[in-house]
Amino acid sequence: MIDRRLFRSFDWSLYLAYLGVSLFGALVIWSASQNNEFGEPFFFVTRQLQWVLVGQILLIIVIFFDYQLLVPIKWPIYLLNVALLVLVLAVGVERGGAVRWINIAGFVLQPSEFAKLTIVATLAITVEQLGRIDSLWKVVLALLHVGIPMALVVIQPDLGTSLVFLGILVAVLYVAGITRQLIATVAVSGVLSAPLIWFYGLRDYQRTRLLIFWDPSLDRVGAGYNLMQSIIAVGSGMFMGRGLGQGPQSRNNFLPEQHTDFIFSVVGEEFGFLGSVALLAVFFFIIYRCLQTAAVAKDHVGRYLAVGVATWIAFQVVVNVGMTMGVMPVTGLPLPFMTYGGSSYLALTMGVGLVLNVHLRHRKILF
Amino acid sequence: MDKDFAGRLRVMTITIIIALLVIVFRLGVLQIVFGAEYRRDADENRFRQRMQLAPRGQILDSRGIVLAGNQPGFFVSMYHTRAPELDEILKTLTRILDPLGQNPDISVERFKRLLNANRFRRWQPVRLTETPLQFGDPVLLEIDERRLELPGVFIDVQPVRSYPLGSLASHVLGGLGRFTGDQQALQSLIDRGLVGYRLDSRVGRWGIEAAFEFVPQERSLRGIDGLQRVEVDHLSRIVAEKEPVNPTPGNSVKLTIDAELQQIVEAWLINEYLPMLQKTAPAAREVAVVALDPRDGRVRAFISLPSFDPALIARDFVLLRDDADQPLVAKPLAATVPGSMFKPVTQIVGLMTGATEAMRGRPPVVCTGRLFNEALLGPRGKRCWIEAFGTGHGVVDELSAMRISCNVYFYQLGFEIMARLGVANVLDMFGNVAATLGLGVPTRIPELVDFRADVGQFPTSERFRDGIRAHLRRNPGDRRSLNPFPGEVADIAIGQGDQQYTPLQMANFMAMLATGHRFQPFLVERVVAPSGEILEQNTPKLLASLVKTADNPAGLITEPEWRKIQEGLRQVTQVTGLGLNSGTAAGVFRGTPYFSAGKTGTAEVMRGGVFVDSHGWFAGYAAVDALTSPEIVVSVLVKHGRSGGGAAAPIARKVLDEYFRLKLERAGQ
Repeated sequence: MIDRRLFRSFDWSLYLAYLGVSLFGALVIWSASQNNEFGEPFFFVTRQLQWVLVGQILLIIVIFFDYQLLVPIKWPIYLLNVALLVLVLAVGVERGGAVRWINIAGFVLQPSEFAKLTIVATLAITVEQLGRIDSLWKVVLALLHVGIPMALVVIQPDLGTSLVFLGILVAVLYVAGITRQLIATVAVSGVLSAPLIWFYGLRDYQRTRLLIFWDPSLDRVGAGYNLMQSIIAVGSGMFMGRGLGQGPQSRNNFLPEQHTDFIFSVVGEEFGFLGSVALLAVFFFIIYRCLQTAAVAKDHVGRYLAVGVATWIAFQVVVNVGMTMGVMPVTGLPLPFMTYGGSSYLALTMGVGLVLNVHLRHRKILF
Repeated sequence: MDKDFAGRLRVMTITIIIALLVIVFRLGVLQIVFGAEYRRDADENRFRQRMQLAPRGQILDSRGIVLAGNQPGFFVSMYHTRAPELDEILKTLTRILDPLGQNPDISVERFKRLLNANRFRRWQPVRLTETPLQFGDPVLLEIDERRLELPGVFIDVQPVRSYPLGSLASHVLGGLGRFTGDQQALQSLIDRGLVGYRLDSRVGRWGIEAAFEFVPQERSLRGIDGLQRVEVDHLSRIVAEKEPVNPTPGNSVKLTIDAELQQIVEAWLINEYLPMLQKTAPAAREVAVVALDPRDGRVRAFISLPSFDPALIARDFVLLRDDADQPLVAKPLAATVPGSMFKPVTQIVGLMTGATEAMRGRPPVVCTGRLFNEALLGPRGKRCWIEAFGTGHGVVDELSAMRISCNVYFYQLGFEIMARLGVANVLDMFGNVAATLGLGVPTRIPELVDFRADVGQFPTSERFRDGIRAHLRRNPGDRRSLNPFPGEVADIAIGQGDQQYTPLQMANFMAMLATGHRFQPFLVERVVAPSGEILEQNTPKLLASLVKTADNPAGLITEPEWRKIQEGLRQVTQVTGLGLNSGTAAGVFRGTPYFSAGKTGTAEVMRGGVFVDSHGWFAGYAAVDALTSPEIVVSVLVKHGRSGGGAAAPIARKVLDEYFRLKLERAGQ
């Protein structure tokens, strides 16, 4: 199945950028969690490095099989995904008011993270099968494809992840050639349904979060406090940063969730403007390589896969980093490859694996 | 690849670039434009500061015994914490501090109120307990052990004023209280260059503590507070302590008081003497004792009973103020009628006016217990105190009159003086001489802030006439003259009538009789900086001299005249003849290993012309070798003691005995 010639097409730059961010992420997790509740400075970083290791194995497996093999098993994957999301609602573990996790053999799994991967994979095939998006029913079909898992995630509730689904759908439909007329139709119906979503689709705490995003001073002690502390952390990094492990906002635990949702605040505090911009540049490079892969993919499935993964990463980077600086609402989306946690890391790793896979088997003639 | 796809890919790329640029722009705004401000916010987040109160300067006695010092006080304090379970923390804390729930000051509600009042000054802690805990209190241990359950709570160790000898010399030391001024008062202090005061400062409110408060740093007991910065985590648990700005202790004040002498006498008075005296004089509770060095004015003992605990004066102030025995009044500064203590003044006036000389040329005075003089005193005459014992003094001269304090002699002397000066102005002469001798004029020990009582009052003709005028307004039918009747002049001559002096004035007056000189009495020897540098040294200040010489034209009498008065005073403490005509304090001073002299006084307290009770006075001086070199003066007043020789003189003897015993003991060391 694997041709040795293929490895000449392996996208080393994407892989190394991805691995670099992963390891840098582990370093920042160490810095952020030195004074954790377990009293062991290496508690979190050790676990994250284990995930990185497991990730590399999964990555190799994903690269090994041609992504075209996904086409015949699209529906089993899709149904498994839906089943897992239903399982979450049935027997999930509650943390902080939301049911997002299930316990499987001692591992706490977050199926909504893997759902992103599944959506990317199955949507690519579905849209390829639909062909050029030139009629409303094709849009409705694609919407249904994403809508079912999305509804299950919204119920958890996890607004952020459902928005990632929506972003992927929009991006894939866009590159699949959706007509301008259809774009206008969808946009207008979206705007018209916004009030309905605000009043009936969102829960109280979600509305509160959006209001606080609009004006953080509304809530200086609750969610607004977290945001204030994050902004202080980022701002106090100034140009050069405080240095690795030297950020008092994270070291003294003023930052909330500093090794998960707010890990970028630690980067901002400890590495300053210089380090933050460098990190964003590397993220852009990864996204750019994914989009380049889409451009050279040998078929539409590969193309949509790469665009889906690129959107996934880009969406989460922008929303997560924006959140730490108050330009995006607090949604709990992880920073790709860096936020502590196995599910998110492994799902994204396999996403990168898919892109590497597409690149490996790309058309030989470029442009 | 179709062109449309490439174009759409490019739109996507550009969209992502724009989104990332917005983020970079935001990063630039936060980190570069406002970076410095956020860094300050971050530091404010993690630093808390607490005052390290400066130890107040010590107050020492003349030999270095600490009268007021500091001991560590352990206060339960708290920083603002963001711990979500604040109620739980405070509940735990109240259960530790007050397990039985009896103290109304220890409640979750009150703590929350305190924390809330401090919400705009989150970097500084809130003191939750007003009274300090003592070292070794199990509560301290428990709070320390459970500190993980009590984020933000810590034990603040601050110096607390302590008075190791309790109520000893409390009227000299005074005490601390809350700063009573408002924000404006605080500002005016700052305008005067007095910094370091806060609205919750404890300041000297009385006595020495007050005299060295609100004064420039170079003479202030107050030190300069230090600052301790600590780094905390998000729950205000202390993570690290920064280099502190150490407090500078206040200057210490060394007094002239001999605390050992005072303590012995005070303890004896309270535990032995007064309980015994009260069997015959039940109202004898208020006592003033002043001992001073007649050679320079240094106050060696300053006893005022009843006294109070300086550590508790602020707490108990209302109780103390309303107490009938007036423990807040410094009794040595409270004026009262002098009685026979005044007779040396009359003798000096007699010598100055030639009245004494005239008496010497006449037949001797015979005291039958009452002086009859129809023309001057009317048919009933005027009594001598000895009449109460059913007898008279017999023949008295100027020496024995002093020794046995014969009123009849001094009535006669008063009439002689009146005959020379005229009735209109005779009181002024008594008043002026009294004032020259320090009686009825303010003693001005500036350190005794807020315990200052009446300065006393010497007689003057004008004042007398004012009194008569007031009397005539009330009694329009009365036709009496504005001048004193002879009987009223006679009253003044024996120390009754409208005149009042303080025990301290009496001590200083006796010092002038002892040495011929009167110095400004003082209590503060020196002010010493923490480094040991002497910042201020008090030196003796001569106010007046008794003997008239070429150098001292303002002197009142000649040297031989002065010595004769001294001889009279000496005999007061001596047994003469067969003991029948011994001095009024002879029995008390029998067998002393030192030479002594003095004068007793039994002052009759009249209210509305009716005799109420008598106060006992004694003032005297003593020397080791000869009475020409006296080194200690003592003045005693026992209010309602009924007798000078009986109630006051034994106290003076005790003071002198202990003074010389300590002197010998210390010389032997």
